[in-house]
Amino acid sequence: MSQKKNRNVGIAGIGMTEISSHKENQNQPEMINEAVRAALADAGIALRDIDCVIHGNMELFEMVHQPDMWHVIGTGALEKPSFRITTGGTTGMTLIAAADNLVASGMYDIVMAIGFNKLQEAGSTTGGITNMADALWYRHLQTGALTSTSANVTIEEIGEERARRAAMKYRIMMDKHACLNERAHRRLGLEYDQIENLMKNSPPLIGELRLIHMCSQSDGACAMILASEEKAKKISKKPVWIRDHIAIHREETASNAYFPILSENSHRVAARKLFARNGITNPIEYFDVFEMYDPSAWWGIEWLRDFLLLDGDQVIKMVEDGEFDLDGKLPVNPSGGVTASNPISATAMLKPAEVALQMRGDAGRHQLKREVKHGLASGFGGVMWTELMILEKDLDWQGDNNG
Amino acid sequence: MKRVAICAAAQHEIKSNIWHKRFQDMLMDLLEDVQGQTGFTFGDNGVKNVLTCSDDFFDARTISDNAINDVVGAGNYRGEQKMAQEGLNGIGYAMACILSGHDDVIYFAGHCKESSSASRNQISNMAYDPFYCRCLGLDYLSAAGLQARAYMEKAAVTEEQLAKVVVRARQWASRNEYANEKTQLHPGDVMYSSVLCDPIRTLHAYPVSDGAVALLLASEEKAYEYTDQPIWITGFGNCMDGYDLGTRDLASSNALKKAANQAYKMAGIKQPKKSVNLVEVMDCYAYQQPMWIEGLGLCDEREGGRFIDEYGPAKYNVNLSGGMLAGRPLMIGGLYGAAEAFLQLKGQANEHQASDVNCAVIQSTTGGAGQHQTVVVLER
Amino acid sequence: MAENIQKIAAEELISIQVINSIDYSFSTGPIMGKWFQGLKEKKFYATKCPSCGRTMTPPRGCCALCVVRSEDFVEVGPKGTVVNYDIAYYASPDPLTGKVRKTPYSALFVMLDGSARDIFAHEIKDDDIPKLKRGVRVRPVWNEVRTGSIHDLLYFEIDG
Repeated sequence: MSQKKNRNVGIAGIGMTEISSHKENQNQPEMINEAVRAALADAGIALRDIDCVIHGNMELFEMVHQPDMWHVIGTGALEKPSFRITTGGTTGMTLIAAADNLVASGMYDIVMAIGFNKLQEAGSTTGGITNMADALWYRHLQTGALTSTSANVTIEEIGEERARRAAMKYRIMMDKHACLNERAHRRLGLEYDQIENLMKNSPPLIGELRLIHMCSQSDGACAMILASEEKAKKISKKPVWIRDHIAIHREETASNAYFPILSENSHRVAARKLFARNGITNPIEYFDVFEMYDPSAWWGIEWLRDFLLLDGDQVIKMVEDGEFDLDGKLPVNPSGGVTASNPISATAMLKPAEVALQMRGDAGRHQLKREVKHGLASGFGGVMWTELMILEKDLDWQGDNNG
Repeated sequence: MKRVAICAAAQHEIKSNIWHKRFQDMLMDLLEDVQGQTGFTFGDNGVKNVLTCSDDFFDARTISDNAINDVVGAGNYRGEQKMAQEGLNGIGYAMACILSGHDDVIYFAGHCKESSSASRNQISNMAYDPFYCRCLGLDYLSAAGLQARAYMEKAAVTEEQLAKVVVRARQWASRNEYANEKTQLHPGDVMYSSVLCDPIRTLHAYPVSDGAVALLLASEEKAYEYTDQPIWITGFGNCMDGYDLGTRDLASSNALKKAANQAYKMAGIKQPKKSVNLVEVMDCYAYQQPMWIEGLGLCDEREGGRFIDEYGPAKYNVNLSGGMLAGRPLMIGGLYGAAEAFLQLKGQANEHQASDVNCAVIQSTTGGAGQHQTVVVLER
Repeated sequence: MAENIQKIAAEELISIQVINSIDYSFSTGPIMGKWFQGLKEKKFYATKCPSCGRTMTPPRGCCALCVVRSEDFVEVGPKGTVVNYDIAYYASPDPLTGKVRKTPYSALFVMLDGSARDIFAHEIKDDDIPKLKRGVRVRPVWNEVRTGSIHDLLYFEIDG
C-alpha cells in the first residue's frame, strides 16, 4: 500500500509572519505579502520563478467571499495559475498536501502555498467556528472548538488529580517551548511550580477546560514553496522532503465525535494507515520530532496517545516523565504548538514548516540538539478531521520501505 | 504524460429554487447516479480521497464541505478536500492528484444553492475589500456592467447580437433535461427587458440557480474498470488577473488567454480554430459569450460581435446545453459545462446532441469580471 | 516599530468596525422535515441504516459509515442516558442571532433509548447542571407552543 509517487517533492522555502493577537498595521493582503516575501527570500528565488499559487483560509472568519481575488495584491498569483483549496482547521496542511500533489503530478515545478487567518477581524473565533454547525438544529448548541468532553473521559480513566496535573504539565511544557520561539504568539513564562495554582485559578471556559488550556486567537500567515526534486536541489541547500500524507475525515454530525461510537478516532486511523503503508512500526523510535496540532492541553494529551498508537496511561507516564520535552525521547511541538499560536488556516502549515526548520537546523533558540532526520506533522479540523504528514531530511527511505 | 479520464458524470436538474431539498439530498441522488453508472465503491481498492466544491457564503456555513462529507462518502474515515473556486478547477486538481500517484480514482461532487441567500449580489459584494470597493457597492453584477460597456464598445457588439445569444441559449436549453430557464424568447423581449446594471439587461443575466454535479475521475489503468468509453482530460489551465478593476484591461481577457494557452499546450492543440468542435463557456451575462470565445482564441480579437452574426456559435457548437444564460449556479457553472461536454463526447446528449464531436473546450470563471479563468480540454 | 504604529494610530484610522449581514433561508428537505414534524408531536424520529442498523438522530438520509441511503424512520427516546457533556462558562455569540448567551449553559450528549451507535445533542435544564454526570438518565421537557423547530424541545432534565 505504499505510495508510488510520480516524482519527489521538496520544501524549498518557508516564510511566516510574526503571530500576534492583532495586526491593525497590516490589511489582509499586506499580511500575506509579508509571508510570501519571506518565503521567496528563504528560497532565494523571485516571484517569476513560481509556477502556481495555492491559497486557503476559512472565509467566514474575515467575512471575505472568494478572498484569493482581493488577496492577489499580496499573494503574487497575478497572471499565474492559482488554486484555492480549503478544509477547515486542517487547511494549512491540506495546502501542503495539495502543493505536493500538484508538483508531483508534473503539471507545475514550483508551487507556493499560502495559509492565513486574521482572526481579530473576525471578532469572535468561537462564534465563527460555531457557524459550521447545522443551522437547522446544532448551531445554537455548539461551543466552537471549546469542549471538556475529552477531559471528562481522561479524568474517568486515570483520576481527577492525575489527569488535571498531566494536562497542566503539558500546557506548561508547551509554553516553555514557545518562550524559545520568537515567532510564537503567547509566551507566558510559566513554570512547573505553578501547576497547582493554574489548576485551581485559571478562569474556567467549558467544564474542565480552563482559559490557560486553550489555544489563542491569532493573526498570522505562512507561505511555503514546494518544488520538484530537480528544482528543489537547485534552489535550496537543505531541501526537506515530503514523504507521504493522509487525510481522514469522519461523519458530519458532531455529537458522535464526543462519544466513541467507534473504537478509533480519526487521528488513530490516520496514524495506523500512514505508518503501515510506510513500514513504520514504532513511531516513537522512528521520529525525531512531532509537531502536533493541539488546540488545547486536554486534546494534546489525548491525541498524543492516538497519533503514537499508545494504550492506557502510557502517554500520561511519558508526559509525567518529560519524554516530550525538547531533550526527551520524542520532542513534541518545539514551536510551542497551537496553545501558543493559532492563526487557524496557517496553523496546520506551521506544523510542517517547523519540522522542516528543525531538519535544516534553522529553528533558532528552540532548535533541537539531536539531529532531526524523520519528522511527523499533524493538522486538525472540521469535526475531528486529521491530516498527517511524514517529512524526511534525506531521500533515503525509498529503497527500504517504498516500492 | 499519463492520461486521466472522466468515467462518469451526473447532473442534478437545475432550478431557481430547489426549496424542497437540502443540498445533502441533492448530492445523495448524484452519488447513487454515479455509482449506478460505474459500480465504484469507497475503500482501499476504490475511492480513498474525495474532492468537493462548495462555498461557505452560499451555504452560510464555515467549512461548508463538513456538511456534505456523509453524502460524498468521506464520512467513513476517508480523505476529502474542497475546491473553493468554481468547480472546473477541481478537474485540474483531481487530475494532479491522480498524476502524482497519490490517488488513482477520485470522486468529485460540487453543489451550490444560490437561492439560499436573499441576494447573490450581497454575497459577491463581500468578495471586495471591506474598506473601499465593498463600501462603494461593487459586486459581480456591477463589475460585469463595467466590463460589458468596455467590451461592447471595443468589439462593437450590439444589442441585437446579445439578443441573438440569449434567444439561442433558451432554444438549446429547451432540449436539455437539466437546464433551468426554458421559456422561449423573441429578440425584442431581450432588447427591451428592463435594465439591470447598464448596459446589462435583465434577460442578459443568468437566472438565480440551484444545482449539483458529480464526476468520477480515474487513471488510465483504472478507468476501464468503471466505463468502456472514458473521456480524456487532455488539457487544463487556469490564471489569475488583477483585483483592482482600474488596473485591468477589462475589455480583453488576458487571464483567459493565458489559461487557454496552458490548456492547449498540454493538449497539443496548435490551432484551436481547427481542432475544437464543441465549446461550453460560462456566460453569466450575454456579453461574456463572445468575449470568452475571443479569449479562447476561437475568433479574433474584436470579432466577437461578428462571430455571433456569422454563425460562429453554431459552427463551434457553443453551449448546446443552454449554458450559463439558461441558469447554472455560480460555483459550478463550469463544472456543469464539463458534464455537458462529457455527454456530448460520448454521444449521449440526446435532444441537444451535436454530430462528430471529438474535442471539447470548457471555460469557467471565478471572481468579478472574469478575474480568474479556467480552461479544460476534453477529448474522446 | 510598535511606537511608530501607535503614532500612526493616533493620527490615522487603521481599523473600521462593520457588521455584515446577509439574509438566508435554509431548506429542511423531507428527512429533516419529518424530524421537525416529530418534535411538534413530542416525538424523536431517527433514520435507521438498512446496512448496519445504526440509528441517526436527527435523521440523516445517508449513513456516513456505510454510504447508503437510509430513509426508514424509527422512533427513539424520549428518555435517554448522558454519555458526555460540556458546561460553558464562556459566553460566545450565537451566530444565528448575534446575541451573547447567558452562562452557564450546557451541551448535552445523550444516547436516546432505542437508538443504536448514535448520540443526540441538546441542553440540560440550568438547575440540573450541578447534578450532571456521565451515565445519568434524562427526559425531555417540551415547549408548550411547538412550531416545528429545534426550540420545540426546551431541554432535558434529570429523570428521577
